[in-house]
Amino acid sequence: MKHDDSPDNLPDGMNRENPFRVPDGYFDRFPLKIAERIAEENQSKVIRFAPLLKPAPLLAIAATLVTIAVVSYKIFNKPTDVFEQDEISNYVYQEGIIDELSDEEILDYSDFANADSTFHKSKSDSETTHIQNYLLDEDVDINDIINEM
Amino acid sequence: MEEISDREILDRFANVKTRNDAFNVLVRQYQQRLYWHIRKMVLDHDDADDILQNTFIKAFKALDNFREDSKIYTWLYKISTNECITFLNNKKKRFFVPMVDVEYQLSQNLETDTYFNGDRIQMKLQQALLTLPDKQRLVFNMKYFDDLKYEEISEILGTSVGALKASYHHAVKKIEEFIKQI
Repeated sequence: MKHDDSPDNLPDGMNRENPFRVPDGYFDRFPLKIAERIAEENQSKVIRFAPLLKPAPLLAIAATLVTIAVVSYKIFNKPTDVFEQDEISNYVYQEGIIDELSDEEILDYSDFANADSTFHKSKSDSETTHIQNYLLDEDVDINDIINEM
Repeated sequence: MEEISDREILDRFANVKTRNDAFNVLVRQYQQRLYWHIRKMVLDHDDADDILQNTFIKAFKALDNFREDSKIYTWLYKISTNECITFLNNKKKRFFVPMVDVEYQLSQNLETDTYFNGDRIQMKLQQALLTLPDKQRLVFNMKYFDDLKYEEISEILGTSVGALKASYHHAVKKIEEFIKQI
């Protein structure tokens, strides 16, 4: 049906005739091709999701157990041989040892303490030796400190 | 083939038992109109076949959410138009060639295409159409070959009727100029 606003033929005898063609039986076969593709897509959707569904509960349980194990380890395995820097500082201050320290000694200790705020008894490094030497120089028995903590 | 109404197709599609049959009816009802619309844009039969398949697969996946704010055919026409544009853009990117060269390639392919039966004049017209920007070519095809009203084209392309009229008349002028030069 021709609409009012459609143009007449283009110049040079051109018309609306369709110059293209299709292979024989193309439109007869096409609906079946589409039905097959839809069936394939539905099939692949099932296969893609199925492997995830079965082990999902097992994975969830495993993940929970691992989380519990890690958290428990963290809580119950806190090292006991660690003296926080604050603990030593507080002891030194409370026992009046601080009054007997020169400004230079305090500053030296302060610089050292800021580098690492925890001291491991098992560490035989220069920092630990430095503190031990200081305490010995001041006649402070390190076992007294440990007993107080 | 007797056409079944949109309402009936949608009702049957909504029912799981009759879904595939309903979609089969929809494909048979609209395949030819959509195919020729696509073919006129991409020219090659195999490319048109791919795009037509993709159009119907997308339609199958989205038909449950079809809002019935247009006819099913208009909706399908829109999907196929977008698929054509995407295809032509990807073709250009894939071969790292500007659109002009892609047009030249399409034109050359047409001359050796087994499924092109046009005479010399029709070949000239197709070559002239290939010089138009894709959207302008779309407008021309829909108006001149598919005989759609401007309001229908406007609904499909989302462009105003005024802009479509201007685009169409410019397309006609360009085609005339091209023909004169040959």
